[in-house]
Amino acid sequence: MVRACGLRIGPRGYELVLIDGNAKKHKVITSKVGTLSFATDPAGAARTLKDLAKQNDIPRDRLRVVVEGGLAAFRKVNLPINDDDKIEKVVKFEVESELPQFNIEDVIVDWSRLNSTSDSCSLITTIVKKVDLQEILDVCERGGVEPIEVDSDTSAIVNAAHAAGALDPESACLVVYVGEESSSIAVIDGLELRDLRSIQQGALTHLPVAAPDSADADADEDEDDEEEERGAADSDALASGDSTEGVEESLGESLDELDVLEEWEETAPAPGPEGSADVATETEHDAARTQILARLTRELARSISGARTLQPIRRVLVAGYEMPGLIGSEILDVSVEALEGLPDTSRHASRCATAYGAAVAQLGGGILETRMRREELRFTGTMERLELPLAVASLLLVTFLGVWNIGLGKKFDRVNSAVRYWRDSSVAFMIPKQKHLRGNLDPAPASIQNYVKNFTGEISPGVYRDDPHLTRFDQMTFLRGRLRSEIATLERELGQGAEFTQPQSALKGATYVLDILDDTREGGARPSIRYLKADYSKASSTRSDSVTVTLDLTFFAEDTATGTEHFEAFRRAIELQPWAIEFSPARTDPLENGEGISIAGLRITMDVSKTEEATS
Amino acid sequence: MSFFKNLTLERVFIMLSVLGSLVLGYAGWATQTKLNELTLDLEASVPEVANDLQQLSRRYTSLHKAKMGEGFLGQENVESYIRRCKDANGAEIGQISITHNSKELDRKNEIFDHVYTIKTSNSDTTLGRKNIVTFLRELEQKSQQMRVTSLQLRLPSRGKVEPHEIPADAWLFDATCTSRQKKES
Repeated sequence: MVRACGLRIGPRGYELVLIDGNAKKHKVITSKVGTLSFATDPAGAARTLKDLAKQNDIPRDRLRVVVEGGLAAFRKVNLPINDDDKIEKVVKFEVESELPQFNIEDVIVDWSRLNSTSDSCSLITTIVKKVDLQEILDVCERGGVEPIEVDSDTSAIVNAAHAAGALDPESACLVVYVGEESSSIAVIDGLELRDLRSIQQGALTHLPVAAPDSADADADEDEDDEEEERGAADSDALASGDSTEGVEESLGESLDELDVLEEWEETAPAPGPEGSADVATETEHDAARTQILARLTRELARSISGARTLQPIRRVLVAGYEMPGLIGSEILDVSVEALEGLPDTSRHASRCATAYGAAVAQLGGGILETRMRREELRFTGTMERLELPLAVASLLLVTFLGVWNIGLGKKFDRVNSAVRYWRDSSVAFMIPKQKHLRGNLDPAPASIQNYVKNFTGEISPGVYRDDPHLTRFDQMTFLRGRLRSEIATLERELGQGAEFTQPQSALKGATYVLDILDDTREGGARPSIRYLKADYSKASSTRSDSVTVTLDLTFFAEDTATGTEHFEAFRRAIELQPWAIEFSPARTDPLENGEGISIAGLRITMDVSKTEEATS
Repeated sequence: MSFFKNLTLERVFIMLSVLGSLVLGYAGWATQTKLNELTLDLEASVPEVANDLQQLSRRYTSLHKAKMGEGFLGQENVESYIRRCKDANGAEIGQISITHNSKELDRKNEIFDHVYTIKTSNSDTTLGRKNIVTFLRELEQKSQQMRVTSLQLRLPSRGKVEPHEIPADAWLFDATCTSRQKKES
């Protein structure tokens, strides 16, 4: 269910109706009436509205405000077009000539179609001064109840009557809303609008406007039934029986009687909306009200007589502030009746009629659509106010992000280009671009060759091949993986895999030992080999694979001691080697001629896998 | 939604900008992440992988050469290989006799040592060190499956050389080569 709110802000009071449902079926959640004066005490009025919003949970996005019909002027315009958009563009200028008292830029012009053909239409325009509307909107904004749209009493009362089911499709009628200082009149023919007008005579016209008083204003804001009852009692008190009866007697007469009324009006004391409040007596109020009633009656009679309707006007339906003597009377043989069928809004059904009509219109109901928030008074919510700075900020943000992305992209390209250089250089090392050259990967396995051909290298200057599924670095690791796999395959085929290893080389073991022996010559030694044996020993549970080199040799020297020194140097050099396991003591004998020593059965045990090329 | 219902140019800008910002923000974040990873890789891993590629490619080439140089798959081929090596330039050790026997090294994995004992046909034949070593080096260099597991160089018994004498470069020689293989190979 959707909740909507109608809030009438009159010159002296407010009416609020909160409904829940849809345009056809809804119920009144709450209704409030109270006094405020936005003209003389805008701050107090704003406070009142703020409290009202706080107490009643007013839906801000479905709030429609009604302004007094007396603020509006109405003109009929005939146009040779019938397109809404075109009407919107021209109506203001068409009505300009009808409003010599206004600068057309200072007013809002709303319109409703009275009748139309395919290429022409007749409109009734509602003209409201922007400054008047702005004043009310300012108060609303300060009170935190800025409306989505603004109605006038004239259209709101028509929508209320329609929603209440009070309009008879088979007859015409006048729908009247009696406001504080003006009354709004709509002529309805069946369910068609024929005319709108307002009269500057309202139920409280004869009473002076209360002076702004914050205490009073606060009290007014706390509207309750007691207060309303008191207000109603005041209204009753203002409507004395004598004057009402006097007017009632004069009502229901023929049109000729209007002249009598006018004569009577001229003789009666003129009502003073201002200045006379301090000295007004009850009698003077009665007299003034009687005069207002007479004027109102006369205007209604004029409206009836001037109305051009297809069907006869049978009723005058009245709602709004209490105007004793009006309802129940007859004007030009047309009965004046209360607008019935309004939903139960406590004691304020009649007074709240236009607020109700506005709420219904906000739900999409009613027969008149009013759009008085136009041009610079157009509704602008929080989003609307923020959207320009937000748009600028978001554009700046997207620009910043764009620049950031461009910078990142360029940086990424630089780094990626460096990786490409590594990749392509590595590939070129393995498989040169020039086919006649032999690379270091020779011959290149087919899988690697194909991959290199398809996903690396330069296509044209500045354009490079890449693997769509891998980064350039991943391509390198992929190639490394493939290469390892190929090597593992080869090693398996060559018996070098992890499954088993070839035995250690006795030749290599002997070569390493003899290389050390040869190095001793730099120290002056002169070794001579007489026997060499090298044997591989398979690993056992206590030792690893090894090679044992057995030597018979002679160290020639000037004397035995020197020969022994050279042998010891050889021994130390062997024992320093990482592959040396054991240097077995050997029998050394001085040579017969004393020029060196001979060594027999020298055994050197070594681990060939610890030599520089650990391939065996 | 009233936001879309009352679409204005500003709102279009906001929507497009927010959408663009989301896309660009995500793209930037993804690029930044990739850039960080790539920078780290470039500084630390790329040179290492490039170095690995170089070493591995050389290793592959070496292995491939070794594989191509094997030239034997069975016992007869091994003997032919040994005889080819003895005739290599610089070896030329003359007639040799080769005896072969196999030893089971690992029953479970069916690994065998094929042992080839190489001797000169004439037991008195003496050879220079260079010839012997060249022959043995040929045996190992041209095959990754062949190892010289035993070798012996001794002076001939006739004309015995005393320790204080320098012997001539004429040696009696015998060697044992082993090829460790799985049964199926």
